[in-house]
Amino acid sequence: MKNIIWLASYPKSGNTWFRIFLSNLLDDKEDPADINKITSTHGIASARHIFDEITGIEASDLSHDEADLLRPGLYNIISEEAKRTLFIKVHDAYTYLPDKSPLFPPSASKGVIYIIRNPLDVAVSYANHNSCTVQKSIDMMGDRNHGLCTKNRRLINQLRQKMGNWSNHVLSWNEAPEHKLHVMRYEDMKQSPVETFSSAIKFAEFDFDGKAVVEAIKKSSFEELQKQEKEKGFKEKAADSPSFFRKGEPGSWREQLTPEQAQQIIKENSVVMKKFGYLTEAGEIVY
Amino acid sequence: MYHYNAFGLQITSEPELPGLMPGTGIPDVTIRFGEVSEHLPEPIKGKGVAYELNEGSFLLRVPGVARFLVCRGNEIIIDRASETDDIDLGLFTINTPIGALLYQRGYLPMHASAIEVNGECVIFTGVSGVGKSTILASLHQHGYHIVADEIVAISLSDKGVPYVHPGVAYTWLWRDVLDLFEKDVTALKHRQNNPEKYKVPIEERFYTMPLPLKRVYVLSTKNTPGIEMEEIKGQDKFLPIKHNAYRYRIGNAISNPAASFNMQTSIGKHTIVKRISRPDGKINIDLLRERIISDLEKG
Repeated sequence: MKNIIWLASYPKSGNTWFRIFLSNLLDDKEDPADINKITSTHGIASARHIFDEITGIEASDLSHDEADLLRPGLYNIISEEAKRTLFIKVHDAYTYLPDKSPLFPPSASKGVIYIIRNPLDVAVSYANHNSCTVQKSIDMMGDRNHGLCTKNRRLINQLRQKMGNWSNHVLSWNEAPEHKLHVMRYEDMKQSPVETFSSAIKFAEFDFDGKAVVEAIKKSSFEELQKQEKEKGFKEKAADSPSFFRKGEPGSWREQLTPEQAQQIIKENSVVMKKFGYLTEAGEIVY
Repeated sequence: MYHYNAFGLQITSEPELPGLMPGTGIPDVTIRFGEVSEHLPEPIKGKGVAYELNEGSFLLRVPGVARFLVCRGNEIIIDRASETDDIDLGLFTINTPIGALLYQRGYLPMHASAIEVNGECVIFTGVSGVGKSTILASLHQHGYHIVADEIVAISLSDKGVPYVHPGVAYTWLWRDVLDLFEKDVTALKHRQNNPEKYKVPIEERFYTMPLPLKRVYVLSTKNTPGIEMEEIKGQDKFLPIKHNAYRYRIGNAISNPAASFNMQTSIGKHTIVKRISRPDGKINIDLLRERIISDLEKG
C-alpha cells in the first residue's frame, strides 16, 4: 500500500541525476540507460495527464486550489495500484491543504529522499535552466510565493507547484513529521558517490551489492550524460536553455556570482545553510 | 425540457445546455436532475479519485459542483450542489459524463479536435496543452468548419468505416490563445473559479453532419527548433489512437476489449496517421497552421 518514494528537491539539485542512476541500477543493462527513456522511475507528481486520467476530472477545468484538493487521492490510488516501489519526482514544497491534511499523503508514502544542494550553486544552475539572469534566479529563490506553473493564462503540462523560497522548501520536507526521511546532499553524491548512493538505496529497501552501485554510478557519469545530451538532446531540458547537464562541480558558483549576489543568498538562507553544512557556525562558506 | 443533437445523439435535457445544436425526434439520451448517491453498489469494476463504475453505471463526483450518474448509455442524472452555477453545470456535464456515456454506447471518444476538409474529417489529438484547440481555432479563422473539440465521438458504420459525429458548437479557450487571435473576452463566459478559460461560441462554420474519418494528426512538443511531421505506418498507427482515447482509463474499464480493438484497428485501417512535433513553449500558430494546410492540400 505505501509504495511511493518521493524524490523531493528544489529544481537543479541533482534529482534527474539520481533518477538516471536509479534507472541504471534497477534496469541493470550492459549499456548506460538512455537519458530520454528513464523507465525505472515514475515521472513527476505534478504531471497533468496523470491527474486527468486518474481523477476523471480535467485539471484545466479546475482552479489550482481545487486541483490540489484531489491530489492526495491521486497519490493514494497510484500507490494502491502499484505492484512495487515507485520513485516519483517532486518539486513542490511539503504543504498542507485547508483541512490540514498533507498534499502528499502518508498513506501512500514509503518515504522521502530529499536531495539538497548548496543554494549558491543552485542559483547559477536555475538561471541556466530558466534562461534568465542569475539575479532573477536569486530573487525567485528568495520569493516565498515562488512556484512552478503558477500562471493561469495558459495551459501547461504540469499542475501548479508551490515551492516558496529555498529555505522554506528545504525545511518543509525536512520537518514533515508524517514521513520517513532520508537527506542526500548533492555535494556528497559528487564527492563520495558510492557511500551516498548506497545509503539512499538502503533507505528505499533495495538490496544491491557495492559492485552494482559502482557500475550504475559509472553509467550515470556527467561525461556520459553530457555525451548523450549532445548526441540526442534531452527531453527534460527547457526549450531556451543551452544544455541540461552542466559542469555541476560544487563551488562553481564562484565563477558566476558577484560577492553581493552570494551575500544575498547567504543572508536569506544562513540558518538552513548552516544546518546542512554549507556554512560553518562562524559563517564561512564550505563549498 | 430542452431538445438537442450532439455526438450523433438526440438528447432531451432538463437543464438548458447552451451551445448544443437543437434536436428533434425520439431521444437517445435523457439528462435530468435527481438524487445521486455518493457511491455505486458493488461490485465496482473500476475507480478513480472522483469516479467509480460498475456494470452499466458510471458515477462522477465533482466537488462543489455536482454528482453525475451515467446509466446504460441513455441517461445522465445530475445531483447539483446548491452553489453550482449554469456555466459549471454545462462544463462538467459535456465532459467526463458524456465521455462515459459514449463508451457505454460503444463509441470511441477521442481526446481531440476535429475539422471538415472536402467532406471528410481530420482530427488533431495529443495531451492537454499540446495545442489541439489552438490549431482548431486558427483553422476555423482561416475558413475551415469545426466538427468537434475536446471530445471527438467516433463510431463505425455498418461497413466498418469510422465516422465522426459533430460535438457541441463551442470550444473552451485559454486567455493566451484568445489574445493570439485578438479576441475580445468581455462578452465571453468562464467559470468563477477558473477566470482565464473561456467558453467561445462557434457562431459560423460549425459542421452538423457525420463525416468519415480520414486523417489523424498526433501532436507533441519537443525542446528543439522547427516543426517536424512524419507519417506513422503499419502497426504503429494503433498506439497513438489507443493512447489518445478520451479518459482512456475510464474507457478501458467500460468498453468491451474486443470491440475497442476492432474500433482502433478500423480507424488505423481507414486513416492516414501523422505525427507533428512542434517546439515547446509558446506556439507559433501561423507557421504550424500553414504547415498543416500545406499537408492537407497535398491530400
